[in-house]
Amino acid sequence: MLKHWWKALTVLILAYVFIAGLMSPVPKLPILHEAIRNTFFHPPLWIAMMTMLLGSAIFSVRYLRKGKLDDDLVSVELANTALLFGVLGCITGSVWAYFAWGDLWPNDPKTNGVAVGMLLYLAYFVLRGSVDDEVRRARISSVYNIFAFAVFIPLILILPRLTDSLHPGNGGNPGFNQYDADNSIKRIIRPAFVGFTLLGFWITQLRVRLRRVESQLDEQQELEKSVSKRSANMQNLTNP
Amino acid sequence: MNQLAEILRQDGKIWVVVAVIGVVLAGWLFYLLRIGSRVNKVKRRVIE
Repeated sequence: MLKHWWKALTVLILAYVFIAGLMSPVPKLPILHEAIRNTFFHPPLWIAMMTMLLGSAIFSVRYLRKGKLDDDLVSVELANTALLFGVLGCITGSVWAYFAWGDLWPNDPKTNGVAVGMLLYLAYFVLRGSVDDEVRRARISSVYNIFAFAVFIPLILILPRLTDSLHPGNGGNPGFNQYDADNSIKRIIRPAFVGFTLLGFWITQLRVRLRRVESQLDEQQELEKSVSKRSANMQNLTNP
Repeated sequence: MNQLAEILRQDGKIWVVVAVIGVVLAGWLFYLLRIGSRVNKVKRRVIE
């Protein structure tokens, strides 16, 4: 039970975020109005995605250092969940942008950067699917994964800051962000970052455990097959 | 589509927030259901 304290924490944080996010008073701004509450649900998806991709890259490095296939498995599943969060981030961003900026996909450096980033990670899964040998697949995709992460972060965090962007905190100096983010927002958005990330790890953990069971079953089946084959061979030898 | 957009804009655009939350929850649910169906597959393999 003590091992699962972080799951209880996830539930508590998410309950707080969803309830307070809908009910607490927020700054009154033109155009946005109540839609400002989307700041509690849209950016945390991206933070969770980036954290999980960082985890995925770390496990790829770990795989390359130690050569355990289990590390590769964790790395893939982290990327998988991260992609889910990214897709959700894209859809929610689209909905929000339509009502705040007037376009489903505004020509913004951040949105375009993220589109390229998502394609990078889709290519990661295509690459994995195209290699049959387990060890080779793990090695090649681990190397690719590290490169993908190294490209993804500049694409969505650094490049949008160098130009003008519709997203707040981009274009100009994001270091002054502390003056234009209201406390009533920070109070909810920061726990939301943690809560969404923890939920991402929770979902990933379920899939990792499932995949471990699957690979164990595969191994068992192969063992049974080889044993039955050998015994059949023996029988053929003894009574021809 | 336009009518829907108008409805979403009512009440200070709070329905936009509702739509966003709906998308997020539906996405999580979809993923969890997929994990569930995969668990079922493993279960069938174990029974065999």
